[in-house]
Amino acid sequence: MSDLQTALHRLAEADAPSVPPHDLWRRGVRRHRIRAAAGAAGVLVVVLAIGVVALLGPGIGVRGGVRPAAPVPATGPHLPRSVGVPVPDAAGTAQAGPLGRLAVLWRAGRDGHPAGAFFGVSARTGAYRWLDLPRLAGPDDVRLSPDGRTIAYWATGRVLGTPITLVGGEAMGTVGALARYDTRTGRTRFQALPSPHGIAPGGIRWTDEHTVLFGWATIRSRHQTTGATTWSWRGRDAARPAPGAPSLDSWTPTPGGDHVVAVDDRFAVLPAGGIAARAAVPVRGLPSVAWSEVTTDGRHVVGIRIGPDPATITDAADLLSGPVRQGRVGRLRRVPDVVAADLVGWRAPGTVLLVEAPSRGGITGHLAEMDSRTGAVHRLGTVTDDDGWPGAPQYASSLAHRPLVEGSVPARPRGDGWWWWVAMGSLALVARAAIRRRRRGRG
Amino acid sequence: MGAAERAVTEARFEAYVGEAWPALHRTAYLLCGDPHEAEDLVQAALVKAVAVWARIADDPTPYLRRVMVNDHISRWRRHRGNEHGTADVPETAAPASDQDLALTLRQALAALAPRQRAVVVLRYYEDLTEQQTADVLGISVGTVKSQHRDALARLRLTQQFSAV
Repeated sequence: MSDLQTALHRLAEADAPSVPPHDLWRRGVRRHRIRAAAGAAGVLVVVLAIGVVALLGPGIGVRGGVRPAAPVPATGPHLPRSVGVPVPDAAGTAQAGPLGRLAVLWRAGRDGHPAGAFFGVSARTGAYRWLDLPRLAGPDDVRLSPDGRTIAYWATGRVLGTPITLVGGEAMGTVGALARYDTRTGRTRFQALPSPHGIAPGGIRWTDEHTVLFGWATIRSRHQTTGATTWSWRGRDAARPAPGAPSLDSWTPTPGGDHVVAVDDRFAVLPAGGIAARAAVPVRGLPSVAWSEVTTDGRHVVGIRIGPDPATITDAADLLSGPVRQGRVGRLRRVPDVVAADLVGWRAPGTVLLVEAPSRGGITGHLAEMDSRTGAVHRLGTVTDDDGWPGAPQYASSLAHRPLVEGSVPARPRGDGWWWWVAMGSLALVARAAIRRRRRGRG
Repeated sequence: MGAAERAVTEARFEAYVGEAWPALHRTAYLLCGDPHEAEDLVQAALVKAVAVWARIADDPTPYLRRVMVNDHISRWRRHRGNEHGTADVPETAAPASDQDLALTLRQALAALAPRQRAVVVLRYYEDLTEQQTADVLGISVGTVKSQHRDALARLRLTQQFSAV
């Protein structure tokens, strides 16, 4: 045990906990009822407001800054404008079968999964379903392919000798393979990575719709790994080492275009379909920062810069945009008033699709598109997460250029007898209005 | 849910509270440094847990940790304008006793940003892995690593914890 561990335990032991109050359950039930009633009243108000607006006609600016949906053909895969999370006890693929090509992959709270679980949204039907990913080792680096047909993730596997857990290692099981889950058939292919004591998994990134890069090292002892390497796994081929592959830290593939890799304050622009990095291109006028995502359409670069603010509770951060000329990235400018959580892909040259982070303290973010030349941002739909699990939704980026469909946000359960609470909330509103009228009458 | 089932659920909740209260209180105390605020944090977390108890009853501690940490950070944000934090860790002479060491640690923890402090408490007191810490804080493992590194750098400024 380190000095700090010992000191913390001594300091904690010095604290003399009081006796727990006996009415916590009652207070919790009361709080839950109040919140449910308030929520129901809010819903009622919103429904009434929408009804009034609908009655008064389209002259009122009900859409605000949100663009209307484009006409959508009846067939083919599409991304949804709005996304939510399914109910915790909804069906999983183990019972209901594979969902098919995905538009969205995301993580949320599921019954029986303390660390959360992943769910998919169908690109064809918009249906939600929990994904039972065989031998999933942990929630880090579960990656949807750009076409939404495959999910790559670290899987548990056999260790040749005694398993060893790294000091300060991740809360994953004994990682022994990389898995590729086919969202259409439900079948999973595993690339075994046998080692004497287990492996330390690194990042996983798709370079195109068929090729995934992944980094890993062999555990030598509780304090040491060796043989850190990046491998490439394409289609039905066996995975193999990819010497010269770039860092897996920060990049977003661009279908048919170049890739950009960011390492600290330097970018490398990579040719389409290639993984051999050109010389890193310095970015002028930037402090040393970390990047969570970077993408380019060949003429512009857009990136999310993780800021140094220690009070920021999510990874959402500044959005920067700048030109690319002859493979060289120009000066990046911060897009004002936008906190970005993830980059989805390019709608068209010069227009990038992104996930705007929830407002401070809120639970609803937005899917938005940005003109990379002017920085103008238009919200397209909502991204609602009731539980606040880490990470933004992953979209099938190669569908970003297609028209968006409306999408649905599943209603989360409100507890037993929620209709009763809706009725009570409505009654409360009516009673409040009556009291106000009476007071006005008296005045 | 029937009345009998509700009674069983409530009894399980009460049993958990009785058993886990001291440990939760100690964690909250390390997070905020004040016994009264620690009690508030634990009570608020348990009250919130009632609404989702059916879902978390098998292992409620991760949820409660998460609520306590996030509540503490929210409170810190609301009240930081009224407080005067120290930018630097106070320099002290080598402590002569456990009380001095505890005082030094309290001062060193108070100089950390709340999320850095939470990372230290979760990693070294709760003995969570980086992934578990990331889940509690709702951030990525990479951010946990950077916050951990920064926190230790500040703590190392106090000679007593140079071995961390």
